[in-house]
Amino acid sequence: MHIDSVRELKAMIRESVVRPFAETALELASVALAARNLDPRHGEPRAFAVGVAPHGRSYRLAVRVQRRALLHSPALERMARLAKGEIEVRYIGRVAKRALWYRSRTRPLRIGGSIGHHKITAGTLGCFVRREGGALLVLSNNHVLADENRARSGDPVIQPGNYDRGNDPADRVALLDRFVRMSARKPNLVDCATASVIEGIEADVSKLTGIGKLRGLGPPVVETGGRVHKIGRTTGITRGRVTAFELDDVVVEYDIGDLTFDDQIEIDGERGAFSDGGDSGSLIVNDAREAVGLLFAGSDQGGRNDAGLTYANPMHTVLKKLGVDLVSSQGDAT
Amino acid sequence: MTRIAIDQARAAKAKLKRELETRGIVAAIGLTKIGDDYCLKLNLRFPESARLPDTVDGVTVIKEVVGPIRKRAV
Repeated sequence: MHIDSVRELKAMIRESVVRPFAETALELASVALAARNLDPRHGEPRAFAVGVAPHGRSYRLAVRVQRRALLHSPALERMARLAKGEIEVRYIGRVAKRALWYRSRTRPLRIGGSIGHHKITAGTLGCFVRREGGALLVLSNNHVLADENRARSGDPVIQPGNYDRGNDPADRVALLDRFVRMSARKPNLVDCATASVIEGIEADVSKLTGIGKLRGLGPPVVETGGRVHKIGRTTGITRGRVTAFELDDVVVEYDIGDLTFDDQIEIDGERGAFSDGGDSGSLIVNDAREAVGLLFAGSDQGGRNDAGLTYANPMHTVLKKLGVDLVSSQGDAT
Repeated sequence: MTRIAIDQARAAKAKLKRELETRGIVAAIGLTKIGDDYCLKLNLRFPESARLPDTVDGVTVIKEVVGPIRKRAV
């Protein structure tokens, strides 16, 4: 099938098969298990996930089944009929919540861990930087450390972030240093901020857990196809490819309104999405483990698997705008 | 066949930006590559029925519907 046909089919199946199925199952569960937590985040019964799977040079509907009994269910048979047999079904079982280090308290501080201004939910600790002769600084997005221009210098930054049960002052690790103000009237180049690490809080400035050691600043991105990696608070380690660069007029939805960005990098994930909500602020490195971008935004559509595309500020621009240098060895950090 | 160089693609990008600046459908306009040729990537907020250019001054335009782009907050 053409990718647009699969996308339409996926949307239609979500509305006409998957959602009604989940609602019926939830009603049954509420009758049988009255004491169960019915918060939709916790109570939704395990069922189906639908997506798009590449198939040679074409695409087909991807269905992931979380209960074996559903492999022979009328709902799945209906999906196969609607897809005219162009369907890839896999049993994936229970997707359990795990205690992930990047959503937990980590000391020393690590690249990729949950962090945030004390009034926001949570984002990702990108990496460590410093101004000449200055203190060690954490680098992340403005919307992670400075609450979309609303914070003040000296405000507490906590690790993990609020959403991951971080509290101020118990988990305070840094104080907001500077941010590049984002404008609604003209195109922005960066969504970035720094926070100074509080004395006594240790930091592992070069460890990219599960990837290797950060080796410094990479060259500007002016090619596509280059492989990139990141560690983020929500999706952990993901890998992708640069699909576009020097992107202008990138309109991004924020709490303070729609903002426009110029000169951005676009990345498509190798297996599913390269990022998701909470990965904001992640450092993006190339295959040589050199920093090339700071992740800040994404879409839910587009890309080879239609899992959405990720957008990043070029790292050279971030460092220049903040007037800082990347710290990539313990020697630099002292 | 002449290769499309990066500066040619940049000039075409500026022209396409001017042509589309009053249309609310653009999610981003940038550069990408097909083989050795640079070309334009036009990301759209929603499917567009009106005609959009396939080339600008000989530079290929690749169109993709990406939907809205949001900050990656939890």
